[in-house]
Amino acid sequence: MLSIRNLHARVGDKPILKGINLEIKTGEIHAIMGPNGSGKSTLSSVLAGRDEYEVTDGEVIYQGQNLLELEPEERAWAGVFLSFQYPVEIPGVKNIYLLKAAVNAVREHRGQPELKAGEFLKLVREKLKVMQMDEAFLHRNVNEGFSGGEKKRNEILQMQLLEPTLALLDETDSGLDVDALRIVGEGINQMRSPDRSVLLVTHYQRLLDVVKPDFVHVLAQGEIKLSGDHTLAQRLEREGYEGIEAA
Amino acid sequence: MSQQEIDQLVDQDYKYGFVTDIESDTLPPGLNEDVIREISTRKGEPEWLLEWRLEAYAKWLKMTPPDWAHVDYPPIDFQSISYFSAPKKQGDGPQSLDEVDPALIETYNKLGIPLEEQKMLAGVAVDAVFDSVSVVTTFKEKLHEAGVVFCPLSEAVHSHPELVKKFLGAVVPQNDNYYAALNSAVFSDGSFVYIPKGVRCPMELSTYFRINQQNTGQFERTLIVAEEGSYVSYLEGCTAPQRDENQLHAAVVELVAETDAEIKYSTVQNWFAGDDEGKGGIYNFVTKRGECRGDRSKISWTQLETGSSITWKYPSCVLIGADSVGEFYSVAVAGKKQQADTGTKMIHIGPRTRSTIISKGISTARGQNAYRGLVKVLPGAVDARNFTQCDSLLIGDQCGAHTFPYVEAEEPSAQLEHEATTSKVSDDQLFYLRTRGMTEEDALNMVVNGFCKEVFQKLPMEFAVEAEALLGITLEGAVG
Amino acid sequence: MSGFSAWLADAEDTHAIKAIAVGLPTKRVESWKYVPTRSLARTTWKQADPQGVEQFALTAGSFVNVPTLDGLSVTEPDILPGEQRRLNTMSEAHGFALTQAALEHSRLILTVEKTASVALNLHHIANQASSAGFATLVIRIEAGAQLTLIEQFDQVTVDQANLSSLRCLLTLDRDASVTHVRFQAANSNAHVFTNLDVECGEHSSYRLQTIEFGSKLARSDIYVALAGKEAQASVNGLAITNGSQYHDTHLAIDHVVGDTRSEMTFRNMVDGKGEATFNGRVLIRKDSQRSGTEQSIANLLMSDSARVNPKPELEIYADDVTASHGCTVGSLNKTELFYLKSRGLSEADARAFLQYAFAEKIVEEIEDPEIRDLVETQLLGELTHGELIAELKESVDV
Repeated sequence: MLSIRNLHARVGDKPILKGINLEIKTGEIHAIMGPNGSGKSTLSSVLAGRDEYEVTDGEVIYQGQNLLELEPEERAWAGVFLSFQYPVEIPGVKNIYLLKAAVNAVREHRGQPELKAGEFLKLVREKLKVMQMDEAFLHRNVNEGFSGGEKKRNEILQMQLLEPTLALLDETDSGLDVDALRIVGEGINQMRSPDRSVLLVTHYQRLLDVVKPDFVHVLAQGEIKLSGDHTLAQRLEREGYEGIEAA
Repeated sequence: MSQQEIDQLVDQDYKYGFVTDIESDTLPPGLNEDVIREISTRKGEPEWLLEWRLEAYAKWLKMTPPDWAHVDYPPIDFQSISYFSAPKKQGDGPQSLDEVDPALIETYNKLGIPLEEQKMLAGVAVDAVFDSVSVVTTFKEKLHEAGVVFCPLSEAVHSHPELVKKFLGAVVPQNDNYYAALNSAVFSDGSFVYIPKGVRCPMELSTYFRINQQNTGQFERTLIVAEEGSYVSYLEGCTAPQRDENQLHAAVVELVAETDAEIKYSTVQNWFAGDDEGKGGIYNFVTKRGECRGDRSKISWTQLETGSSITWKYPSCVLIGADSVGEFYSVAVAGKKQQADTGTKMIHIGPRTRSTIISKGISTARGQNAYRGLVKVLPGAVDARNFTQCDSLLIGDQCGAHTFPYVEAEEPSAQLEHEATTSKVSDDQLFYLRTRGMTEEDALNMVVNGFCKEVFQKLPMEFAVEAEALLGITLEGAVG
Repeated sequence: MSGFSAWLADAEDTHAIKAIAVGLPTKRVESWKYVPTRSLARTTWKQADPQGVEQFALTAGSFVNVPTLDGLSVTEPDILPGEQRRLNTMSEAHGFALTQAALEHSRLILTVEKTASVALNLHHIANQASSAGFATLVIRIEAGAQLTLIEQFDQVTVDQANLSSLRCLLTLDRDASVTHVRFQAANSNAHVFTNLDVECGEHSSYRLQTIEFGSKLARSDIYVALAGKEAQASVNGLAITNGSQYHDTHLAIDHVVGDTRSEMTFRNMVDGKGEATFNGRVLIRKDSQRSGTEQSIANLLMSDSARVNPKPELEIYADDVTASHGCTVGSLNKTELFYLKSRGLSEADARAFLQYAFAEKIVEEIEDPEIRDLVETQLLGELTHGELIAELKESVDV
């Protein structure tokens, strides 16, 4: 599904990623953990196509295509979804406008027919229920005045609607209380499928208690220092990043 | 605190008000071509400079004084002003401090200018302009070794004529505005600084100005040229003796920064502000402008304006070189019946040019303080950035604070942000500090200093200390 | 020489004599610094002929079909001294204001009676080529009365320069409240001038929403005086400036007495070779203690040749006040664009979304659903890729 090979990237003159190698097969859930400043956010931003980051070496192959050559919207059309660590507020645009425009844009590029208003509303209501969100959310402006937890739920709601084949979830657990964490986690679990891969980027292990990853990788100083199964996350929780890095 | 007490506190005299008794060689009041010829002759100027002055004078005659500023004063009678004054014992110029007129040294000491020791110890060269003619220059040799030229403009006219000819009026044209034209015609003296390619000026350059002659307009003219990759920090400070009649001060400062050069220009201005009725204070009509000509060049203006009865001053940056940077940090205080109309202009011409404007205005007593600024972005100034913040603090209910930020944007990729607030010193803040044992006055000082911090931090170290002290003196008794 | 000289010479009025002497304002007049006066000067203007219409309208400088409504009375043209003073001040503002005064064709004085509630919808009917209409509207809103005043412009094509000028005085007595919506979508050769003077009495409330899409040149001089304790004013506006349009609003809010509040929010979106000027001035006078004001101005530059000149001014003479303003100039936010694109929207659609969002912040505040829909529909027409949003609105707004 996704092959990251020898990926180097920098911001301005500062190299951040120094040779990342990662293979994600269809249906797998991978978690990337690491201390602050290890390059986690850079990695997800590069995969999503933010232009502040310059890739200096390496490649990222997604379903046989060079992912790095695609525009952000082309990545979305190709089935890549990025959940933002800080979802952007867009005052003046109703949430439902964005949801419907996004769903139909992606469907169009998948050769699926456009959803009619009724069908769309039915679908949205169904997903709202999963995310335990009130219908009023649809008519509020995109993320404007949302609490941290509401924003993250809104991200997962979008993911549910867009049905990506590869989901990149960047620090989705930050700023969530226990209840919201459970709802978001379940929202992700519900999307588990043999056809879909997920890459979770997180600082803490707590989301991984709800969404159990197949593989855990430790990122530090721009490189993957250690890989293992989900027990690695628990070890990190106990011993901290320093212990692991020293090992 | 009662109104009466406040009035008493507000009513404090100018601490630096006195007149030095030195015989002067002064021209009678009045302005015409002959006066200009006379000034030029007395200064022993070359013919081309006289022609330049006369050209400026001809332009000035056709101009009218600006009336758009938020200031109010009676029309100035330009024929009642004397346009030249020089201390008599000029002779061949003093070779050391011992040769300087002792009365002059006494004046500096009263002002607390640590000319003899402190500045030298601090490694600062002082080129003190007393009235219109430079009297003493120290540390010249050290600068000479570095290849830096730092001398009175009148001297540079002879020692570096080609440089003066090339840059005089290159940034502020003769007819830029009414007062710049007047200055061009009758300028007395000022500093000339030239930093050659790749040289980092080995010390802070500082100049103290004094106005000391009754009815003598002082028309300083300063020119600083920083060649490729050079750096200079220039300090200018002034304080003036008490007077009954208004004194006109119309200076011009021109800065040129070539590729990768940086000029930092700091001012502490404390001309006599006039009495409580605004009588006798200085009219400070200044044109200051810098051109960032080269790529990645930088010009930074920092000022503390506490004096003058009227201030009309907009230190500006013309950002021509790609990635060049302009900065303006200002604290302006208007108390008594002072009127300050000050701010900056940032003209973005080159791509990725950046500017920052931080302006802090403080109004007390019957002072009127106006920020007037222009941020102009011309087409082609791709990705230009400006951030402007203007905060005004009102202390007492007889004063005023005004903000006039002009923006003219013609480049879609530019990003400009402007924020402004006006408020009084918060009672909560004062109360909180007083419950912690501070007097009302100390509490006010602390709050105001905090308000100005961002700007003071930009001043060179030893100046920052003086600035805080000066602000403290200015605010004495302003608690309201 | 201005294009009004001959007409003014015939007018034989003191204002006319002055207007001829002063001429059109030049770039040296601060408040007219950016105004392109070429078409005003080059056209030989004449009095327009009225058009036949059925609604309450302003045509060729005359008010027609003044409605008969409960609580609304038409007063014989008999101006009060206070109103005359305000009109005089208005006339003296600049050379063109003198022309507007001198060439006044008609004057309508209305009174909204005590505690009445009245809704007025005034249609501006375009004048024919090279012709102009000048009128004055005076409305007195008595104590406790409510007025909703909606001004809208008809959509027609006029081949050449045409001009309409309305001077408007609104006087709000105590506890009165006015909601005023101006939707300026005049033809592309129109020159639209508005001089608005509002005086707010004790505990009254004035709310203006002004939307400028149309005309070749539009200039609004708006002055709101908060003259009674606890009076409040809220003025917000949107200008979408395209092609070679010029939009200019000079707004001043005067806190004449204390305990008054004001708020102004303006947004300009400029594309093509358009130019927009916004000058927002707030004056808090001495002794107007405990007053507050907030100003926010946002400008979006959409093309290389577009130009904006925003200037938020604060002039404050009282110390116990809270005053703030913010002003931004820029193009569309890159992070927002990226967010929308990462959700699959094309570049063009994402841009349209953000332009719509920028404008909508002002438009969504319009309470009257009919006029709001009208504005929104035209707004989408103004955007280069407004279709997607139009479709979305249609399909999911219930």
